[in-house]
Amino acid sequence: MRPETLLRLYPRDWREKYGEEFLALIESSGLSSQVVFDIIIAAAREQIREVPAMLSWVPRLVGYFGLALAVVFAINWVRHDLALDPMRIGVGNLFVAFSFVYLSIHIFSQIWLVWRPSTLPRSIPDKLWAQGFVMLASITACLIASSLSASLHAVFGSHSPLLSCFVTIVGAIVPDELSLRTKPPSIARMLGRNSQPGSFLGLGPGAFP
Amino acid sequence: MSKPTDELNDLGRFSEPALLIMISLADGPKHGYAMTEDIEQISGQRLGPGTLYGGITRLEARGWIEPLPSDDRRRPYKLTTSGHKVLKHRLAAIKTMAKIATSRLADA
Repeated sequence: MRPETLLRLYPRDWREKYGEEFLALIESSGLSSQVVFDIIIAAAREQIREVPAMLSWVPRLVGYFGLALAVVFAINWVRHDLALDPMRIGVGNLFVAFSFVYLSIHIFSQIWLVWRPSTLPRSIPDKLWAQGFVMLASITACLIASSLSASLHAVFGSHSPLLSCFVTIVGAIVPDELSLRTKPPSIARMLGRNSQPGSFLGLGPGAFP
Repeated sequence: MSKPTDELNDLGRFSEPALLIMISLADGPKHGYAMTEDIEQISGQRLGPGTLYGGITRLEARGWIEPLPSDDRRRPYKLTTSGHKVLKHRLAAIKTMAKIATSRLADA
């Protein structure tokens, strides 16, 4: 492996400051497998160290929130048979879409931090605030769209839009094991019928006004 | 307010390499390779380039060491006044700890 390749693992600012002397040191001391491992670990630490410094607390908080949501929804989506539950189809798909969008942005930004070309102006890639806003916008858009979808469903299903919307969102977040659904999807599948709207958290179809 | 010795401990995994770097720079400025050789001589362990520059980055960020101008690719570093103070406090703490440990071993 070439020393220049290893140097590219470090953040750009670090490379600009220490790159030349770091390469000189590697050339003097030689490149063994132990040295390569040492550099990879140290470079990862520099990346981790740099990211929080570049992000202020708001986008960071949004990022962690988004990541947590993405994980929860991805797990919940895998565990549910959404096709059995009309209330969850819209909201589930929207959140899964959000999860993929969010994770793509996250992975892209991490790759960008490592590999961004040093010829680009510094101000463009460092604006991770933009990434935070994209995440926040994604979350908001998904929540609005899913609320709208749930409300429309409730209107057509003659349920209270507000309560139905709340139940739908909670139902999308809380896994089956934690919610008090009367019939698990597997039983519904065995019975050959869909679960009813508003049947989450122990509320039967007739629970809404 | 935290004591200077605590500040060195705040470097986490890099606190030991940072201490070795500061000890190496105590007798005058050195560049990376000279530090690696010197540290190996005084402690018996050879710091990898990643670990060494991880320590240098953190020490420089805290203002305890500073680079000197150089025409060469290899840039030398020197201890700053605050770095000197931090090292002095740290060595005093180690000395006290060693004294206690030695007396306990003698009593055992």
